[in-house]
Amino acid sequence: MDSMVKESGIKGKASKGLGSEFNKIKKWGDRGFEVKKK
Amino acid sequence: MIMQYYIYILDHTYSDDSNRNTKILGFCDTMKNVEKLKSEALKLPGFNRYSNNFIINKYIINKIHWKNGFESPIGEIGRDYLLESDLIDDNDLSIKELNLESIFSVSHSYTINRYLDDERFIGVFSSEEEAEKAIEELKKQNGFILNPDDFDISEIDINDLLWKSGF
Repeated sequence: MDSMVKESGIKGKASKGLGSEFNKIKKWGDRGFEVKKK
Repeated sequence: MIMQYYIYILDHTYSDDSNRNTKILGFCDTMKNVEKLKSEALKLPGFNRYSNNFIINKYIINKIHWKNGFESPIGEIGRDYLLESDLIDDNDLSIKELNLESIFSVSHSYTINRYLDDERFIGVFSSEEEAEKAIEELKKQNGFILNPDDFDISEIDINDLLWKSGF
């Protein structure tokens, strides 16, 4: 794999799985900006 | 005898009265490299504040967890349950013997509601083909059959620190 592909994350070498930085940020975004229904 | 190989997973579990959170920091081939990753993580905020919260587990390569599917939700790793090591035999060898540069980590996660996901760690695989084979097998099993598109395969460089910022 060349460095450009690796850096772009196209092939997914940066983990999106459980416990990953991506996963935590995604959850924070999905949940943090939600207004709870009353 | 079928040779089994294992890999080390370094994670960090932070908890206080209201929160518990697991971060997977890296997949390593030797304890020396686990310690190296730990040292790098300790330079980052959060990890340096909770320096006693690192956990090292060993996992068998190409072992499929949750092979028979599941009946009910278990919640989120770190928050509702912690990852547990596989049992490693004296005959098992470190993944170092395979000279791999990367592994394929597989997980399954679907949303129960906006504040809760149901998550399962499926395993660590030596190739994308092995990872895909595991997913195809699990898709037919109870529980997974309802959410067959919610598997994740991540190719991860061995001995690479996965968290680049702290918390």
